[in-house]
Amino acid sequence: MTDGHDELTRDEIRAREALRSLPAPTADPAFRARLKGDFVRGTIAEAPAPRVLELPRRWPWLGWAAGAAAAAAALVLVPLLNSGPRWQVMGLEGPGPVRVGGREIAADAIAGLPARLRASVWIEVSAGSQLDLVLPGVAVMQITGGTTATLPASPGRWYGRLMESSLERGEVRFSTGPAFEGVRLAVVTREARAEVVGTTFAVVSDSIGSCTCVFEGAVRLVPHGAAGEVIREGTHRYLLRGGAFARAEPLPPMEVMKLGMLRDQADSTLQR
Amino acid sequence: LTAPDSGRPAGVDRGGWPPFPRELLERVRRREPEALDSFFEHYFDRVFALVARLLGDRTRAEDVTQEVFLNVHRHLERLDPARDPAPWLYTVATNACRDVWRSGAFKLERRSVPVEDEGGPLPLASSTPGPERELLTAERARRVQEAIDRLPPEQREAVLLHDYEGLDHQRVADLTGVNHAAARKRYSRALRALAASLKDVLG
Repeated sequence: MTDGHDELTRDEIRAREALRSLPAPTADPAFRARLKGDFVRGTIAEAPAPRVLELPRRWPWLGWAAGAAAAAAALVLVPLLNSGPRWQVMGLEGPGPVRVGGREIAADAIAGLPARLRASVWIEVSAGSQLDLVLPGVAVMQITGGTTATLPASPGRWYGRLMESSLERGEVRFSTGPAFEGVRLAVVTREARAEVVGTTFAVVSDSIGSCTCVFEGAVRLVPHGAAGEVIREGTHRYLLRGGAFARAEPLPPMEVMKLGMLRDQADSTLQR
Repeated sequence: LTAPDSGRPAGVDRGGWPPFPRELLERVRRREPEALDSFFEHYFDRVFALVARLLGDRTRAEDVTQEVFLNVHRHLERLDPARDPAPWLYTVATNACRDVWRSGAFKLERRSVPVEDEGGPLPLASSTPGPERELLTAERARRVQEAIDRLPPEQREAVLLHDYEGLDHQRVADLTGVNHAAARKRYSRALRALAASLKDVLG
């Protein structure tokens, strides 16, 4: 019983070496520290699977009832404990109105907006206005006039750490904060999906295609059903409606100014 | 949840995880905090890396790693102080990944959530030396991971356990519940598929 291999082709040897040289992915330090604490203290065995009480055999249904009650309690409690911060309104510039989940909210009734800011709700900002939202500690989102997009979910403490916004048309800008660590953010347009880990960037969806502008960090732009490209800091790149990438170009001065202002705003709001 | 018996003494593989100090295992069984601390430090990063490569998704890897350590904690009394716990952990981790692969949610999501980079968040170019090179390295690693993600689960297991973890085929066979020849065949098919997928990237 040998562990050797039949003769490998050159491509197979290269693939094997590429696989062997893959670096080890590392976990989010906060997750690691929390899990370690739970493991060492023994509290890891408590939260995810509550122990069912042993009950006398003559009432077996009580065991099922207790189990069902415990499961129902876990179904309610775990999502509650996992939930992250709520979206808040930083400001609405311009005359408005804003449509959230199909309901129109006038500029002078903006106080009622936070209650409607739920995950995946569609937000439409009318032309000439701009809505700035903040997820405390995590990210600032700017939605410009004429934009229709969904609000990303607030990332959970332990699971559900993907924030995703669908951009139907218009422009959204994001800048991330210190609590963003370990969270993924993606903006999906009809052409592609822009994924980031921590950065300041904008995605524009217009009649030509999707344009991704990266002020800080890097964004991976993945066309639906095709391989992606990394958009580097200080550049922007169009993915055309037909699926082809345009050449990467330096950021236009106006976008540098807008994203720079958003970054500065995020620095103070998110206490970076 | 029992440690598979490969029929050979522990620690003779050419690869795999380094053994945990035997003198601490009895204390781990007794759930002494210091010993649990050492056990966690010894295995956490290795379990997480394996699970993240198998699943190709960092967030889900965190969930599964938590499940692995929860299972381990619940069954610590089954640890045999005379044996290396690594095969047991491999089994718990790969079983947990298989549960994920079988779930409908994973099948729906996996096409859009690859591991986005290696070793942590993408670096901010303004604060990290050599960002271009790091990006290119991360990009290549991402392409390799995407090729791994496209493999059928049993081939993914075979190639990662053999080439990434450094286990021999017999050990892979023991862990995956097939015979030696089947483990080798899965590995050969996986490597052939990877070579075809990565030809443009590595050529």
